[in-house]
Amino acid sequence: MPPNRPPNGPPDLPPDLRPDGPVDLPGTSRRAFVAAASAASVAAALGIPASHASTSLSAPDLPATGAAIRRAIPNSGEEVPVIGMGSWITFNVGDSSRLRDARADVLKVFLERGSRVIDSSPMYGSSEDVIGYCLDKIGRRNELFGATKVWTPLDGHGVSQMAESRKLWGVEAFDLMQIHNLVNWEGHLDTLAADKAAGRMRYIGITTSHGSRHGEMERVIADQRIEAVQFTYNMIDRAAERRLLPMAAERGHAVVINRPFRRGELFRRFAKHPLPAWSAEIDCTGWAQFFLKFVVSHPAVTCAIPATSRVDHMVENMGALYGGLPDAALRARMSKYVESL
Amino acid sequence: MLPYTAEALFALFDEYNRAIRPVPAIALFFSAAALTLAVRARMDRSRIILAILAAGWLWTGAVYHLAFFTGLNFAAPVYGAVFILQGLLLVWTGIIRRRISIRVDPGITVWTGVGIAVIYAAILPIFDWQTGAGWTDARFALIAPGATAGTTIGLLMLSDGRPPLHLVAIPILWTFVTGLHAWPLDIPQDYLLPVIGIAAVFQALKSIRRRPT
Repeated sequence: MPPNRPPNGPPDLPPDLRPDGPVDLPGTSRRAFVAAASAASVAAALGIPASHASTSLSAPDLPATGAAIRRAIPNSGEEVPVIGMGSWITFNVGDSSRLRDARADVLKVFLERGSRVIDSSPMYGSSEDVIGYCLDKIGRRNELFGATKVWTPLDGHGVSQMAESRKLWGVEAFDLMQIHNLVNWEGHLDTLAADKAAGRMRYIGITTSHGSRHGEMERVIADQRIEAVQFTYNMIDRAAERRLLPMAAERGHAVVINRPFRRGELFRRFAKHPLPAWSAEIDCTGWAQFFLKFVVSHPAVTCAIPATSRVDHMVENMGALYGGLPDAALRARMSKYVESL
Repeated sequence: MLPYTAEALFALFDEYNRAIRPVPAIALFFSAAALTLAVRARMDRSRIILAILAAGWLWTGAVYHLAFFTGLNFAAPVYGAVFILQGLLLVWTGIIRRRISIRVDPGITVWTGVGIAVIYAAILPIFDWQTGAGWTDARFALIAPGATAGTTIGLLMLSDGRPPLHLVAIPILWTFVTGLHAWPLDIPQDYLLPVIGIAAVFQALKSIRRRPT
């Protein structure tokens, strides 16, 4: 069965350019020829200073053709793009106007390329404040699907923390409010339900980044009234396939995936090897898209949220929002290829 | 895993040093003064030296950690409280109780202490300056945590060769915190501080065994 393909065909996409420079892909000479613009051209097209784009690579400024891949949140039917953006570390840049402006450029690419889901947390230092700054600068707040978290062991502190998050993002309500790393979920669920009833959020979720807490997450999914879950899933960390992903799918929850690159480890381990030529069947021209498409092609996954502080990496990530997705057979082939490296 | 990058950290120092001008220059002056008094003064200037160190810990805790670093790291309030505690311990033990005498006597421990203090009061800021975007990227003793801890360990090694244990505990602990941060942040100049911390631990343990019973 051929991989799923949107009706307008795949876009031509740049060769992989991270983390150690260009990787020539077999059979991509046509794409390489077609790819003409540099990363600076991408930046210029979006009004971004060239100094904020990588100068060590060439990335074609080709418009993404075809529709962005979207997935519906089963319980509500609302569709969101399958590639979002995390902000752990990457957007925690304090008050530096230079670094904040650089992050605004990253976010601009993110929104220009058709994505919407941004995830953050009060735990991430100044990330929420920086996101608010970027949204003020870009002025596209109405396109946002804002997802943040409540992170406090104290019941009473949750309300004020969430209010502070709304203020920092500059929003009246969040689309998704999550209990971060299951911290005091018992105490926060009622608070979140009350806030949801008051219109301050639309979906309630829980998160973990630790495989050791999957058992507790399963219990919450089974017993509690939540609508979204966030956990780690990538080409190496696949424990979620056994129970969490099927459970979430069964209950119609939105599934947000963190660490799709295993904090960059997947690049360190595999990007030195050639991307298989057959990855072109699903319009992958780089490892980032290979890793992301594997993740988001799982039928239970709603959205993956890779984090980056670089415009060129954001361009690569957004490439996974277009083109084909692997079917079960191709997923198995992808997995087998990576295991062989 | 730390919630920020080295880029964000040094951008913070850039903002911090600019915001508190001319305090970095004042800190540099007083660091040099403390070292000079320790090495060259004929009379015991221990209380002045310890007052300078105490002021540094109190400033770093209250201003750097609580007012600036808290934007990057949720642990900053704890760090700030610990630094303020260290400042108060220096005031109590060194200034009010006068239980420390800092002077340079011949001996490898003492000269090692002088060397460590020089590294953190002078060489580290210059290294940061040269490898960064300018002087505002530099971490100065008495206003930046690692440099303050290193300078303090160095000068306390001059206290008759037997630094009071309760005064070296927090600086030593901070050297290990810095070391733990240095690796994920990839700041090679910070790898030295935990080595100094380990040396200070050995020195402190040796001085316990030497104390008369």
